[in-house]
Amino acid sequence: MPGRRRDQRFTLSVPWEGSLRVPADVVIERYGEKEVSVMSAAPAHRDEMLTLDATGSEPPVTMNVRVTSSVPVLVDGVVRHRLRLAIVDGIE
Amino acid sequence: MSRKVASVKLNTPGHGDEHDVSGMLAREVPMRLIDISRTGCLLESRQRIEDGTVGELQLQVQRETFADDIRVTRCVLVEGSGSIYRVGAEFVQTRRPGERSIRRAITAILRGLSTRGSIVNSVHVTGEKAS
Repeated sequence: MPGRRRDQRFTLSVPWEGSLRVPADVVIERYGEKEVSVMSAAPAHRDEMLTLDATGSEPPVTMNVRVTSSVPVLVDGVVRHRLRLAIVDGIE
Repeated sequence: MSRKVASVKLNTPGHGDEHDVSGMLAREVPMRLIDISRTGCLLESRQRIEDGTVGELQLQVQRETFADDIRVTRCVLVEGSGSIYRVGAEFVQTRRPGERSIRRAITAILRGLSTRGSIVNSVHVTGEKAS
């Protein structure tokens, strides 16, 4: 986009590898030892691996989870998504 | 500011009382850094990212990990590539760059450009003013 750049840009001879961590707020509806159910504004792909931070719990818990289902539901006239997540492992 | 997701009370297993449990669900999208400036960068991804998405970009450089928060400003499909997207992003400069900041790393590398020229290949675009 000519004319919009303000700063010098530098091209990398070898692109750096990495990842973008995109967080989203959810409400944890129910959790057990092996599975968590959350309400989310966005859907998820089945078998997608995600990280869940239960920030409202005491103590805060972080765990790796795998999406087992993603179902759209209507909440107060707004489409939300109920995600069922299998707990893969707890990080802390 | 209105809440996108209404909070609920729930019974926590093993506890008799009610708790209001919110959470943060994060997905990791693999990325490649194509070019970079002091204020933003161009990335490549196999997944579409919505404009306005805010997240933490982590990059592995020579066995070190650097990170910064970014906001996606555009995402376009590379024609003829199948499903490769070019993702333009700006750094969210709400705090001073930390020790592992990408911005700080690139500044340090550029300072030593004469000795570490193999990392940064070329100056791509120079000092045009924003329209």
